[in-house]
Amino acid sequence: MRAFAKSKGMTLLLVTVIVFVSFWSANPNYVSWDNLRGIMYSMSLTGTITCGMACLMMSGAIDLASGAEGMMGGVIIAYLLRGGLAWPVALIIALLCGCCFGLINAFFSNVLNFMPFIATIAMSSVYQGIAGAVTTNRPIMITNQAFWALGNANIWIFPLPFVIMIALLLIYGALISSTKFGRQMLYCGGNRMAARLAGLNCKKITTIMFVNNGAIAVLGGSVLASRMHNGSMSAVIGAEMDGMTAAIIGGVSFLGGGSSGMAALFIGILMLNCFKNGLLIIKLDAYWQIVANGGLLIIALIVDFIREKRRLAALLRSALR
Amino acid sequence: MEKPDGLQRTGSLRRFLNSKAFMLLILIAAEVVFYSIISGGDYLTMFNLRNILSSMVVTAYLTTGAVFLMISGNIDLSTAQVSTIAGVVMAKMLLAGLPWPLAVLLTLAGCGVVGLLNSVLINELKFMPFVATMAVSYVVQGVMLLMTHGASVDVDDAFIVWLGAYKLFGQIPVNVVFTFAVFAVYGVVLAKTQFGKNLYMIGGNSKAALLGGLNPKRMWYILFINNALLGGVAGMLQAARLRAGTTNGIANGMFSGMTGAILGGVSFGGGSGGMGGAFIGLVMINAFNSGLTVVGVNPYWQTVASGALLLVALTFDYFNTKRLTARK
Amino acid sequence: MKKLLSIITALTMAFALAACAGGGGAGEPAQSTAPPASSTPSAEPPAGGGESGSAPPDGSPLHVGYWDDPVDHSARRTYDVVFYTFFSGSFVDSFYAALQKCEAKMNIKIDYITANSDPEKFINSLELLSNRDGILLDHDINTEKRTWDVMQDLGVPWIAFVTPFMDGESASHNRWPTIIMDGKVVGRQAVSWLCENYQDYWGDIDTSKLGMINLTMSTAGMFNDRGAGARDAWMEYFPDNLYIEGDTAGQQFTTETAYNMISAYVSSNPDVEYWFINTIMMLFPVGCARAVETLGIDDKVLITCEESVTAIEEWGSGYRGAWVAAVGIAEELYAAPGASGIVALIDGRATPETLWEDAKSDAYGFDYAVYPLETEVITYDNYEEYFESIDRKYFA
Repeated sequence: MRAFAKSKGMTLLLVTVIVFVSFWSANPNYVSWDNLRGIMYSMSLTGTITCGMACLMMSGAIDLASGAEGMMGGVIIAYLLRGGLAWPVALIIALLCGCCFGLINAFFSNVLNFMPFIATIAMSSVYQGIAGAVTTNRPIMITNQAFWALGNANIWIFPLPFVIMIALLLIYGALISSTKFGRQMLYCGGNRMAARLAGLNCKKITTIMFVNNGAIAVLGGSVLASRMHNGSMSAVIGAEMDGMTAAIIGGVSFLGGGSSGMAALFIGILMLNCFKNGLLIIKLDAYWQIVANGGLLIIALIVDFIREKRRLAALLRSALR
Repeated sequence: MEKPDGLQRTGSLRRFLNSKAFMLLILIAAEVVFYSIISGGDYLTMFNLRNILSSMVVTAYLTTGAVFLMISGNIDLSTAQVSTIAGVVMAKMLLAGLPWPLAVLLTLAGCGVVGLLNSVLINELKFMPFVATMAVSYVVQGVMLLMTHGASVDVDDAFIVWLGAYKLFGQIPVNVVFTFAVFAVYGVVLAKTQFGKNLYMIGGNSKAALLGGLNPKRMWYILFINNALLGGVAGMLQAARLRAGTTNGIANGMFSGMTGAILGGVSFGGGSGGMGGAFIGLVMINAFNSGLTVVGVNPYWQTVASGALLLVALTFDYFNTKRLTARK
Repeated sequence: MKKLLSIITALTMAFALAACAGGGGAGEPAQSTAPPASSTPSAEPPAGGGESGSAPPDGSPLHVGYWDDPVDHSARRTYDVVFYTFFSGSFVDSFYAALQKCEAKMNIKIDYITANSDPEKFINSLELLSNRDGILLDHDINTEKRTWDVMQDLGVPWIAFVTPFMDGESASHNRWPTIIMDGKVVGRQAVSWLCENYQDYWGDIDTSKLGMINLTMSTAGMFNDRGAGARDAWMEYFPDNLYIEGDTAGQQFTTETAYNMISAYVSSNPDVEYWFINTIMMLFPVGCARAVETLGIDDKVLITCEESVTAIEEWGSGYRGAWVAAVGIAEELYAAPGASGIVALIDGRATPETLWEDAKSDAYGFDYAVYPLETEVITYDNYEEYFESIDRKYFA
């Protein structure tokens, strides 16, 4: 608990609370249950995708095609359902496709030694082009009503997509901080050379995380397709940028993050979405909204800076005593 | 060429043949031959060659700035938005009646301020470059939209329009010549001057560089401001060529400069790569994209092909490197 | 050494080819040698019934450039026409499909080239089209000036599609024949229809509890006009009611954007019981429909859209919810006059100044034709019939 209080996650929590309280006082309907559920829905896609991305980043790689992979997941599952498959089967096949996407990325990154940054940007174009050519930019309708439950059902009072996101964050958070595999992952991310010298097979680890990222991205895309009742070639693209920003502010990076990183990630995305939603509600001019989003990031960084300085000052003082 | 004691000479010709740049040249030759055959003569026309060079202009500036920054170990995601706002601001000033030298200088000054902001956030406040420059990019985009309300601003100033349209001997656009000159100057700076060499050292290991007597912070100030200025020039040139400062700005957004740089051998860790490779990488990408348009490929497959091209280029590079290191 | 020599040789060959190919790939002459447009009335009577949307009103003698142009198109070589657009996507794809249907009757072959929303590419690639017979041009209003300059230098017969070229000074004077879809007209049409027909769905409600959400995109000219037209219509019918303009500038064109906005706006205005929602592009109404379903107010919302592509998909799959209407745009209504018009220009039987005489109007300055598009609001009950009737009219 102490560790969290000092972590970057705490910074984000502070900013989130300020944001929340400000908008609440501006418009009491901000905290209406309908709106809070709306915020949960808007978090769920970014949160799911970023969970896979954060794990990948902690193990030392990056996948900028995550959004495109999610999009492909939605399109693939729409076609499979249209072809008459039962939805659990369709979902499993789509997830397997996601694993293939991850394997492709792992191949480029580990076997051919491409830089993941550029290889995944290239794959993102490839996926978008394929989806465009196949769907000719029309959404593919999903009429399988049983499948709609994936995106629209509720667990108690919470939307299922939101619960899925929380579950993923908790599971992966526990995985990273409590298992040997998790620790190995962090070593590979932190200092690859040292990890290899210590005998770890970093390539195998990043391959697993690429596959994992692909599957999670497809899951996120499928849930969205279920919510919207269609698979569209423009869905999900760009979701990874918001998430990556939240992750990096929250302290998840190539140097590690652990379970407090996952908590920070959650709070970061919560902060961003609460803020965006609030701006909509107070009907701020669209252009000011863009400026404000940039401003929010800067404020989060400044708060973090101030806290770092005070902590360093305190450390210095105690060291000099 | 083997010396008696078993050492192999690495003359500069051999280095070139083994380099990334040369491999990209091979790819370009392959593209040219391929497209010429498929398009039946439409591809290799003066029109199209001019087209290819023209399409490189804006990205050339972004790539130059990105190369310098990345070699020194840093990154800037706000350049695309800075370009966009530069085009818009210049157009507005010209519309207000300012003479073009003043409009251009003031716009450049504004870009410099943004570059300064980036470097202050990163150097002094120690913000993470990725997040800080992304935040600045949002702010700049928002300000730009506030200024224009989404509408583009026309450019009517005679000189600027001339700069965007005039062709030397009726064939070579003036702005292309200008851009290549700028690119060449930066290339020389990087490869031959002490400043350039210092960049590699800072990128390789900034703490060691500090101990070695260099001043990384000061160089990053210069580099971020330089990057913003180059972005500003790109945006103004685009506004000249389109006769309007558009609010959508640079297509392909944040990563186009970095992609060009990486193809040229620059990596994120800093410390490697160069301008020659970046130039050839740009030619390769644009020659390819132009061919897709000439042949009339379905736009969706064009997107796939562009992605595939990068992968092909990287694969070539991989095999080339393997071949080189295997020889030892 | 050998490797180097072979590469140099290859490159030299390539550039030698370039030198031979020479200045710009000039093809066959663009104009055929047909006589210039005659202004004497044609011998045949006008097309019967006045039903066909592309024929001039009864009594007018001119058919030049219209679908029922009496000239024999198969008596000449096949013209090479290109449909060159700034945007890409299903909107434009549908036009191209409709244009292709016109190829047989008009004896033309139409290619489709798009710049994929890249203004640089759009301008640069325009110059490559100098060896074509005719161009149907859908340009981006932001780069109008430069596009105009290039088109004037190009010397190929062309017609503007969807977006007009306005005179620099007055900005209300159209300066080239255009087939237009006036975004403002369409937006207004969509919302007026809602304002006049809502009782069919809700009966007589207390209109003080009615509000409107208008999802617009202010940075894209074409879409912005639709939003403006929608707003104008609403202000005429219900000026005192709540109006929310949801400007999606800076966000992606996806269903999620719409979902988030509707969710936020509706939850924060609980005193509004009934909503009209206007959306300017095809993916937004999907998000709106899902949002109102989740919020449980599906029966108290009416959604409309200025594009009908996704509406047809959604209705075809059995949906009968809040999304009740869309503006039907049958692409044949554009394609037919476009194809016949460009043929007339290439033949030389019409000049830009004389094309479509009766489509000139005061609103656009009266010098050049602005061929107005017919659009109609369609619902899930009548959309099939609407599209079939258009298809029958032109291609039966």
